Amino acid sequence: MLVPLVSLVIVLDIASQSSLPQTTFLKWIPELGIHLSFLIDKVSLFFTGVTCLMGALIGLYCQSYFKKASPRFYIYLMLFMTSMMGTVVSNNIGLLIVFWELTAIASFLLIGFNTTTKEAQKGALMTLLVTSITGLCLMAGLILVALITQFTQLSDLIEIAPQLSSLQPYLTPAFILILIGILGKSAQFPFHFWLPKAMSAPAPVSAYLHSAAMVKLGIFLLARLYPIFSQNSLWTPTLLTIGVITMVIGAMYAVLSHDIKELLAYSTISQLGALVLNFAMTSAGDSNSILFQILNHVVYKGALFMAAGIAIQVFHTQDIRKMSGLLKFAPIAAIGAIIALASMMAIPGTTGFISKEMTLTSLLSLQISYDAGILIAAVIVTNIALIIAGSRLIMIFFGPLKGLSEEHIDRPSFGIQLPVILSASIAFIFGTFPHMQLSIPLMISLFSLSVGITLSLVSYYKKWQWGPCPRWANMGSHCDDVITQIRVWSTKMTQIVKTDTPTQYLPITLGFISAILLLIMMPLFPQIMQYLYQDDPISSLAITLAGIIAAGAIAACIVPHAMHRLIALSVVGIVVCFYFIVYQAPDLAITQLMIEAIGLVFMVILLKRLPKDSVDRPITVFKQAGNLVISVIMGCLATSLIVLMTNNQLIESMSGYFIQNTQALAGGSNTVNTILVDFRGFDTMGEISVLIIAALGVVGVLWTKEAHE
Amino acid sequence: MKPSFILTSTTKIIAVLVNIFAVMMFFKGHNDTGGGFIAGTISALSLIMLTMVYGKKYTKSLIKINPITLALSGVLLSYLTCLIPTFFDLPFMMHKLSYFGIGTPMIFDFGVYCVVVGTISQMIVILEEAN
Repeated sequence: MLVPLVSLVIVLDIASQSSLPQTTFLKWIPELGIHLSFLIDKVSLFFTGVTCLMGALIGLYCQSYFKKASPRFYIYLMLFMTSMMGTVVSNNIGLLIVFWELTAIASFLLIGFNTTTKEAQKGALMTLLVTSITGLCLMAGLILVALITQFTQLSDLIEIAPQLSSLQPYLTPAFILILIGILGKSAQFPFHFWLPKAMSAPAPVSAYLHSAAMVKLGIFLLARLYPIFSQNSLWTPTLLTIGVITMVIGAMYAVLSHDIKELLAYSTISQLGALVLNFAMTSAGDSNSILFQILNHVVYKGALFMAAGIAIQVFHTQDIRKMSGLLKFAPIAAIGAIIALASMMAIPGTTGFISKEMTLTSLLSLQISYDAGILIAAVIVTNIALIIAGSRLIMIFFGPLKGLSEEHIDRPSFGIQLPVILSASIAFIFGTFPHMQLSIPLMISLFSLSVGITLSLVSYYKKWQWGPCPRWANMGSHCDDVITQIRVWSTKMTQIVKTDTPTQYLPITLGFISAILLLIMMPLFPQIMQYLYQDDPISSLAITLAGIIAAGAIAACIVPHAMHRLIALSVVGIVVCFYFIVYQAPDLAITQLMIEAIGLVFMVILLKRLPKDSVDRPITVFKQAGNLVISVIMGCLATSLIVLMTNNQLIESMSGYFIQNTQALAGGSNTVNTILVDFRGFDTMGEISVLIIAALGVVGVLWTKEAHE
Repeated sequence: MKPSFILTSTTKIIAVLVNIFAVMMFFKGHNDTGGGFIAGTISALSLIMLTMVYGKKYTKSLIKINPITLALSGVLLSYLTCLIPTFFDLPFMMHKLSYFGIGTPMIFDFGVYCVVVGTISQMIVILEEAN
């Protein structure tokens, strides 16, 4: 926990001293315009500050949350924190995408931290799918922006933003793609379903990722790209619609859910919707109020998630109907959570109240043609729903214990409770600024507050009797269906193409390839014939070798026993080595010889392992004929391809350059080897990596096979 | 079936000779036919011979470390060699030669050698294990 604390101090230090904005620059991949470039301005400083603050609190919380110390968890957490900070400070589009994807990977690891439970696996997978698919959209959008504007540095883009108005029609597709990325990351409608699913994560992860960090990234990007896209005609309507829909349905689901973390997740979605809504309305200079609202949400939602973690550890359930009387066991955390809940319900005296007042004020001052009445109604409905949901949560702190005797409860330690109240107190301190004045927003707030409290009292006496969320409205289950269907269909597809014996699938695959190649090569046949009848002197040695190769190949086809076929095939391979020697390529000849020998040994060992009847299985005459046709066609096609390639030199051969420069540039006289280690050393690096992967694959396949046996 | 006496007694000598040949191939690679890949396959072939005659235990005791570790360290060695020039503000993979042709290309090639030997001997050990 020291790391985030120290970085928080550094961030505050920068904030107090430096003149903003500041940028740093270091070349990374100049060919693609990708540089290690960082931009420190108000937005990024704010987000790094928030990340560090919550990181420190979560670190403190984790010390007591995990009974056993787990270094793996802290590694993931630090990875996440680093990538998060990287995203918010990066000044380059490419760098931003890299860090953005890193947060997705880190969150996958964190959400799936309890690797053994099915929910954790499912939730982590869905998070990864949604955030990475939408992340790809974001990448495409940002690349489009870079292509259109010819700038890859965000600071440059912000600088030239006023001149972009003529380009806005072209930027619209980019805007839509980027918006998809933002909506996916911030769990906005229609991607809101992943956040409740991701609640299978341990409580500190939820508190960090789903209140402070990850879901705020979309909001961050909105703030970052605000200068560029706010002139776009689509900006206000789309953000307004999506924000309102998300805000309302998030609050509705929050009321309907009985799972404590799911409830918090839905209220988070609702809050994020409200933030998006704010971005749709604010004028450019007014980003302070949005940052304030973000801070408000981060601190109270973080506190609530941490309190939820404590409650789950005490009651061993996530169902809030089975929780009560927590105040007695965890008084500090309870007070913190109640303050945070007050902020969520926007009760006067908390930051939540101020933040809602800000939303209402800007809604009332909206000078556009949209119907502000609907929007205000939406805000009121949301607020009422959140008050009901919040009052349900408050109930878990009071009343007698249900179904648990006092001795059996392990009391939460002081260390685990402290961060809750620390986080909540921030919401309280900032909230007590005098803000009371009799205005329309205040009246609206008081109205929704009274309605909300009445409704929650009514439903409390009715004992929260309502059915579960209808299936059609639950987007998460639809996504589940799609994922399952994909798996089912790919299994079916694989069943068709793949069978266990190559004699069955090879004719299909090869027949398909030869059909396509035949179509392409047909028009070229006269040309190939012409090349074939050229009068080239061929040495008698070469003809003899070719004869032996052909004999070996034919023998491999007609001899009955598998081992004999193998030997016939290796005759072909070894005579090919002689060919290389005839054409003066000793390196190739040696390599071919070695590979031939090693391959032969492997094949013999494998043949020994195979059951006898599977090797020499008789094939019907009809099938044999079909195989013969396909093989002849493949052979002819391969030959004509080679003939075409050797006669049609489209580009100048590189070999002359290599031979001339071997001594001068690489200092060796063996051209083949200097190509391998020097000129094309990069390829060799790739090849040895592939070799390793192949070896690991062999290990994996054969070991699992043994496990089955 | 027990391998024949002639086979068991000559294989070790042949293996030593083969490996000497491999070393020769490795070192003359820069100026003449040879190189890391060829030397690797030759060495691996000798290991295959030893495995088939004396069994996988003997091979394992001979190369001491896990073959896959050997292969991975080979990759690592090659990559790190390529990184060296970047510390002197030279492009990635810029090779440096000193006297007698010994330089970074040779280290890079040694990495390739390790990868080839490690991969092939891993495969033979596993295949023998399954038998």
